[in-house]
Parts: sequence; C-alpha cells; structure tokens
Amino acid sequence: MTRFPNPDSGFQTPTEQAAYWFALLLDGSETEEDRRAFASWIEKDPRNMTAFNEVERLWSGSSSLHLAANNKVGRRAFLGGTVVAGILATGWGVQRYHPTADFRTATGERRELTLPGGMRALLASGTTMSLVSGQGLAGVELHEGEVWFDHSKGNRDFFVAASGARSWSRGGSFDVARYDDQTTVTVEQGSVAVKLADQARLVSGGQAVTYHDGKMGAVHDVNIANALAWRDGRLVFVGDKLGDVARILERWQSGKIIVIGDHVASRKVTMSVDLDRTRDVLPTLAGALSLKIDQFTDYLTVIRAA
Amino acid sequence: MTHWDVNTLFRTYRRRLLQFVQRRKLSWHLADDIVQDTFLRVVATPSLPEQRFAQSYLYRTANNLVIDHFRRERILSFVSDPDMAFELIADDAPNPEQIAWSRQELRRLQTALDALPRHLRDVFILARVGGETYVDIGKKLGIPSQTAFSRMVKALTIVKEAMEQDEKNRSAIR
Repeated sequence: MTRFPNPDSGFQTPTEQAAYWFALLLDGSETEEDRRAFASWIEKDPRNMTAFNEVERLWSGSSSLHLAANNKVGRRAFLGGTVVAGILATGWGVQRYHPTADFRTATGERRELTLPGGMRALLASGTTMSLVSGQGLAGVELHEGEVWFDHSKGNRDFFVAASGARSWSRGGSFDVARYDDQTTVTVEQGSVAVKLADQARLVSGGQAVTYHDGKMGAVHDVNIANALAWRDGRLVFVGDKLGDVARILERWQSGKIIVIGDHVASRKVTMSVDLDRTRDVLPTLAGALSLKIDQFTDYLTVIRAA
Repeated sequence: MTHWDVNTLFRTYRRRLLQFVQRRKLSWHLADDIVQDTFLRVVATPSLPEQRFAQSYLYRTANNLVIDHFRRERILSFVSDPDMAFELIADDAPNPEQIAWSRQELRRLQTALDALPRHLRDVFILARVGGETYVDIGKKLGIPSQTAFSRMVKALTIVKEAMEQDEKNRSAIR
C-alpha cells in the first residue's frame, strides 16, 4: 500500500508524533524501516516515551467503553448509572480478599499456630483462613494459601473446607493448598477423606488429590519431602515449567514476575530455593538457562529470552 | 440506570473468561491479570450496557485486553534498548493503581471520545471495535487509506490533548 505521510512533515509535538507512531504500529503494516525509525524516535527523548505510553494507555482505556454508533442520547442514559460498590476496586478480586478471616500471614511469612482443640497448623505465605463449624464438628475454611495441619489422633475429627469441598481427617498430618480456587490436598501421614458434592476420594500417606471447578482429579503419589519442603523453608522444583515456578515464587515474595514468551515459560527447571533468599534465585537461573532477567525494584521481575 | 451484580458475574464468568483468554496462548498469570482487569473495568466503566449484555461485554473487553497485550509485546520487540523496553511494558506491571482506570478517568475518556467530530470518531471506532486496518476502514468509509490513517492520528491527538486539558483544569480547581 502507499506509504503513510512521514512524521517529520507536520507532526510537531511529542503528542502528535506519539499518535502517529501508535496509529502506524496499530495497523501492523509498518516496514522494517518504520520500526527502526520508531525505535530511534522513542529512545531519543524521554518525553517521546511518555507521550507514547499515554497514547497507548488511552487506547487501552477505550477498550471497555461503549463505542457504538453516534447515539449520544442512549449513551447519556448510562452515564448516570449508580457506582457499583468498589468490591474489586482495590484488591485483585473477591476471592483473595477476606477482611474477616481469623488468621492471615503476610507475603513471605510462615507462621505456626495452635487451633482450638490443640491442633497445630503451619501457615504458608499469603494465607487467609477462618474457623468454621459444620455437622457439629469444628473445622477451618481456607480462603487462599496453604496450610499444613498436624492432627493427632487424640483430637476430635476435623475438617478443612476449601473451594466447595471438605477434607475430613481422623488423625494424621496433611497439607491443603488453595490457589485461584484450585485446591490440592496432600497427605503425609494417616488418611484424609475429600468430599466434593457427591464425589469422594480417600487420600492416604504419600498421596495427593487436586480438585478444581467442581471436578475431582485422581489420587496420585507424590514426593512428600519435595511437596512439603516449604515447611522447612525451602521450595523444591523437579523438572517444573519456568512459568509454574515463577507463579509459585510469586507467592513467597512481593512483586510480580513476568515471563515473556511461551517458549521461555515452558523451559524446565530443577532447583531448590531457600525461602529466605528467593530474590537470589532468578539471577542464578538466568545464567543457567541463558535467559535475560531484569529486576526492577522489588516489584517487578521480567524474564525473557536472552 | 445500570447496576451490575459484579459479584455474581465474577463467580459465573471468571473461570470461563480465564479459559477463553488462555486459549490465546497466554501464560496463566497474564491471563489471570487480564481477567482481573476485565472485572476492574466493569467496576470503573461509566457506560455499561444493560446487564443482559454482560456476557458479550465481558468477552469483548477481555478480547480487547488480550489484543492490547499482544500489540504491546509486538511493539516492545522493535525496541533494542532493554531499559527502554521495560519502560514500554511498564503498563503490564502489577501496581493496580498504575493499570487500573478510575471511574472518573474513564468517564473523561468517554466524554473526550464522544466529543470527537463524526468523521474522526468513525475511524476510531472501526479501528477499536472492529480491529480493522486503514485499508478496510478506507473502503468502508469511501476514503483513501491514507486519509483514514491521518484521521486516526488526529483523533488520538485530540483525545489525548482533551484529557491533558481536563487534567489541568481539575488541578486548577483543586
């Protein structure tokens, strides 16, 4: 197609130039030469960068607006709409926000506590949990995070509710991890009956089961030492995908880890991480996997192909 | 008056949207961010349609955000300096204050877009809603593709300047 007008001819301000570049790159019909010109334009002046990011942000902001044909009357009718309560406005969604939870740990924190009835519980990073009762028995509801329970046989029966299912213990030690409404029950000793609606699984020592979205998976064997290494302040990964590893590391440190590119995210990783030194992990990985890792303050780590 | 039951929508659609987004070959946590952002938009958007259109609204918004993500990643690949590249993707950063649009801000954006002259607005909407190229837009509107492109540049410039002016007026009032 015919070339679009050159930005130097007529587009004066950073805003106009940013609009030019954004419009051109949006279409996807730019040439190699355009790409180089864009790169040098944006690197030339911080004001260019700012202007470009702002235009980009406007475009992205418009993605959720009602932009049907020009009928201003109809649209005005919506403008008076009531403010929807800010349930989601500050947090990252209802499921991760439990203002009334009885127990909670901060990011990076592990805490041991004794529940009513004398049971021991060890809470992993970023966990929220409440005391509940059901069918005349005491239990806890795990809202988010991971907890290891030590339920000695002398204690009364006990259950852990998470993601719509209950895990019943008659004595033993087990771990329940709930993230993004996917829950995994891992049993160290004794056995746990996991009941989800009309489905039930009996999980014995050395086994685990995962359920998700109302569906129960199969009971399978796990390496307990690796799966529960977090109790001793370690995370152990054996042939896990980098994307999954990043997601798990995120639970233990503040800030976000972004893995750019599916081929990078699917790289296999085997390593043992000291939970007190999670920040040292990624630079080490970078060397081992020939990846490029940029850490920007404590809040953002970007991993991509070198 | 529009009042969506965001809690119910979240429970009903969150997982479906996540699957929908993940099918676009996005990593889990990016997909999760996009779905979260979709619901944040529901809270912040001043011009929601009636709730019976909620499903298509949610899918359309999530789809737009996915497209926006891929565009950002594509543009990022043109920039060689890694520090620059980071600045460019800063919008992907986790800080919700940075990403999230406030309701007031979206309302101002809506007003600025509504105020665009018809011929600029038409081009903007075809590109935004239909994701059409300037060649397609030109054909549809009966104008050369270069004109469609120039109108797009003009529309973006006007909207951005209007938002800046608005920002200045607001701080002057304060």
